Amino acid sequence: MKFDVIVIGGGLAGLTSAIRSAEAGLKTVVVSHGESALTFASGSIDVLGMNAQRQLIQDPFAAMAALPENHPYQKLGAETVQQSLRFFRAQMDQAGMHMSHEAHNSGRLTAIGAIRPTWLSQSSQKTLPLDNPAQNIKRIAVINIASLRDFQPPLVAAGLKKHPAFVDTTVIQGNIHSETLNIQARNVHELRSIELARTLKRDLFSQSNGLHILASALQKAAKNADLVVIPSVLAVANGNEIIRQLENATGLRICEVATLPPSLPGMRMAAALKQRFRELGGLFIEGDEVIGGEFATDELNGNVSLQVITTKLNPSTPLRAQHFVIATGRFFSCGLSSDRHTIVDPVFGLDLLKSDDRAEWSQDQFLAQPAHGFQTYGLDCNQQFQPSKQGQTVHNLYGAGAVIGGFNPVQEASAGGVSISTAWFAAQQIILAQQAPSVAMSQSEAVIPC
Amino acid sequence: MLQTQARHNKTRSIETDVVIIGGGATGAGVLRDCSQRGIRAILVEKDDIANGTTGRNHGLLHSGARYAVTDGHSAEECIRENKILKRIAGHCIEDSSGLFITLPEDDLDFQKQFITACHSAGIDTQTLSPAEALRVEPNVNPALLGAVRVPDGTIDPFRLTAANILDAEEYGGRLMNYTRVTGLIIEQGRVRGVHCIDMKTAEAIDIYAQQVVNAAGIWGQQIAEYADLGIRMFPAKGSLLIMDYRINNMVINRCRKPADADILVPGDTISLIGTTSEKVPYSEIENIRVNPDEVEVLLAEGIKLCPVMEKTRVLRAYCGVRPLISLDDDPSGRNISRGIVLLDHQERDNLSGFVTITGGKLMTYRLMAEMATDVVAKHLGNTTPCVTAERPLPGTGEHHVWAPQVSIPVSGSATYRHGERAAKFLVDDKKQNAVICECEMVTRGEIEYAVNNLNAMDLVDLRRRTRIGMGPCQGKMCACRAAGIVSEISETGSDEQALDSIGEFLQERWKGVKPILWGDALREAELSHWLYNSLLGYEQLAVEPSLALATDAATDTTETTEETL
Repeated sequence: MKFDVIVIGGGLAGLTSAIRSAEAGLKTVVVSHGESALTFASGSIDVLGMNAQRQLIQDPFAAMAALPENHPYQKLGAETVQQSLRFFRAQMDQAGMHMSHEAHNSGRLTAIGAIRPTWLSQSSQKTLPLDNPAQNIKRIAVINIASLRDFQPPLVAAGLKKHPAFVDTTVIQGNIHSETLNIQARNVHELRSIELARTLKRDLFSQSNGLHILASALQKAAKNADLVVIPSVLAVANGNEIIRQLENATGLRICEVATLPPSLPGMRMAAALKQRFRELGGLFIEGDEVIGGEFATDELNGNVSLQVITTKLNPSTPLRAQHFVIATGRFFSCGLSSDRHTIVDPVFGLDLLKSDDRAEWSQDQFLAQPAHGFQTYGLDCNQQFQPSKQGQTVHNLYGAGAVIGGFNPVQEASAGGVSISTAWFAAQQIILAQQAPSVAMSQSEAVIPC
Repeated sequence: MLQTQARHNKTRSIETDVVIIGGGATGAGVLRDCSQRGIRAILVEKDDIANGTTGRNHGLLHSGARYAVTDGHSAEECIRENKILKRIAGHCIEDSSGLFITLPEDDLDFQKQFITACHSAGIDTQTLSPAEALRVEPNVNPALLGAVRVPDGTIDPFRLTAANILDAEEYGGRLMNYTRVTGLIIEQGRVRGVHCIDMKTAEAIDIYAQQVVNAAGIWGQQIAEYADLGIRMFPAKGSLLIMDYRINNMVINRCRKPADADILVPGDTISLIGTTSEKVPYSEIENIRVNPDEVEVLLAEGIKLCPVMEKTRVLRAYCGVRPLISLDDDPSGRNISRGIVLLDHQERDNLSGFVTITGGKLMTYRLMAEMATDVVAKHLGNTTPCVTAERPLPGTGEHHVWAPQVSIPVSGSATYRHGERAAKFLVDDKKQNAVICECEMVTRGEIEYAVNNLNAMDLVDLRRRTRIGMGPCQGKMCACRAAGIVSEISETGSDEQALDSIGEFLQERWKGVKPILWGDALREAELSHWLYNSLLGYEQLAVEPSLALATDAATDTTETTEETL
């Protein structure tokens, strides 16, 4: 099979790249191993939230200039990052999922009451101002739904109380019992977020007064709170719409918080992206894995390029394309793999930013500072995000998302922004190359505007 | 955790017959023995039970075969206690039996000497051909030249210690964990009790007693120093690796003189390889860690026992300190004893009311407890005989506990860990039966039982009672769930403590993961780190929130920023 573009990896970066390519009319396929890291993500898009001194960044684009030289944002420039985010928002709007932002980074409330800086949010995720998160909030109600194991109101309350802004805020806790919601399960106390959402859909929202039952229970539990915090369990696809309806019915301001996996706001984003890609005519191959490829060297100019890739399920049918995007993520997503002695890109064996001294991979403290070495390992790409193999740039291959090294998605709160901007940039390069193939291979070619 | 602001002016006083210092298996055994003889006793432990050497070894139920050639006396002690423990501690033991294998690099002649020595120590042996050995243990190195089967087994040291405490409490004994001894009360040349501090509340407590038993293992040197007694410990670090799968059914030893990394012990759902031996300075006993070269030795030697280990995920690494003791105040360490050391300081040092029990092995904990309690009872004039070898520990009952709508793996795990006592929490209640730790099948009821009945105070304690967080995910999915439950049912702890205990729990898990951070362990660690610090923002809770000032560089991009708004 022959394509214009093959994208390896079906997460945020892979799908963003694929959507841009497909939108430009390129014949695009995504090969995805399975569920992506979006299942573990908040459903917000962080761009750049924290500096090296652990301070909260208000303006992520202004702060990019202070990043290390090798950081993806430094290679792209703030303007390109903003272009890519505008593109992303427009595509999400097309998929029926509006994402908004304020003038500055906003605070996303977490399931242990912490406030993480973020840029784009879904409408169900009520953001708080970073400089004064308690603004206009005197009472917060933290309400669990059907005693979900993966949401603990006491921990949310304790976390909130650690923030100086909430010292005088009243935090009340509650739970809407499964009996109130009329839901049936073998053991309702063992449901995960996604199973609870399916159960609610079947047993509660299928009833004409289902939303009303939930609304009155919520009203009763939350009393007159200024903000109501609930776990994200109501629905995957139409979760934002249900929260809006609940707010209309109750007059409350309701904030949905991503739970421990699976995170429904993250899954919702993944579903919207896949839907958009398919609408644009893209082919999404799920549950298969790229196990290798063939590289060739141009006899005239010596340029190395990737020719075909082979997948695990169809090894006898290699996939051919003009251009490739590798968006395979890091260790957990299997974009990087390690043994006792070294770290490798298991797909192509591309060059990495890494250390082969295991002592440098990690630190003594797991969650506290300083950051672990492994958190910045990934592909060693050039200014155009082309990776190299044994020192030779691969000219028709682009890295996108977390598989790229040189940034710390957790410490910087930058995972979503780097994924979207590098993915969009990769697609732009490919589109440009398709339009003018002879120019495309030139290293000097810059970005084309959106 | 010591809260200085909560310092109490008044010291609380308690009075009892015997104070035991140290919540390892030996201390727990003394508490049980005293309680069964009708002696009032309190056990004080600075951390949690089984947190020291007791919980940091193989969990090997020795038959004595390992010592048969080199130390016949220890071998005889082991086989006697082996038979007793199989009788009284069934739910802590797996009667897996063991193989002593001879590899091509070993001397097959040693096998004959080994069998003879086993027989004179009273240890049954059965000689197997390589083919027979491979049939009973398919993962054993197929290059083996021969094997001898012996009655080795496995023992869970946490469960054993907890069962001793539980039994003691049912006879009136009392555990005070998180209580550190800060001094001995000495009056008129006699030990009268201990000064303590409650590590959670900083409350000062004096416990008065007629006899004080020092069962603090390697930490016993510090306790003896409170009485100006010279007991010199020579700490020897031993490191082990836990494999993520159970790759062997039986304990596998090399049939040669004991050496590094030559025992592979199965345990529940895992296998572990150990141990190394390395002398460490006494001042370093709180800071020991597994070194990369030890990891290499353990893997290289382990692969010789079971080649499949080459491809098996390593789950964790850990290490403990053997409390080897030098008698006669010998500073050189030449006169080190590996056997049981019982010191009646009344006879030895003319200091009455003080007894030290140390040395020995997990295998002989009951015998050590009996020996120490005999001395204490003699001084107290108590003539009740010891019955710890006859009365079974709570949980030893054989029958499987069933509960409605609980799957067999869940009830099986509960019964495996708690024996017939699982009936205390496997009840007809869906909320109680909800599984909280899916790797190890720990229910909400089991967590509540461990907090209410087994003295667990936080997540790390819970792990020792229930195996929570010990599976492949190393606690990332269950830590928050369990913290929520603990804060819900605990009368003393606050929600903030519960939140803090999540970080402490994950850090405790990390200590074991860091030395073996590659492959799947690195994948899991990356996910766990992402979930806690990105999705949940855990680390931020510890940092005072502050806003970054706009940098000078900001002026360059002001225009583009406005454009997006």
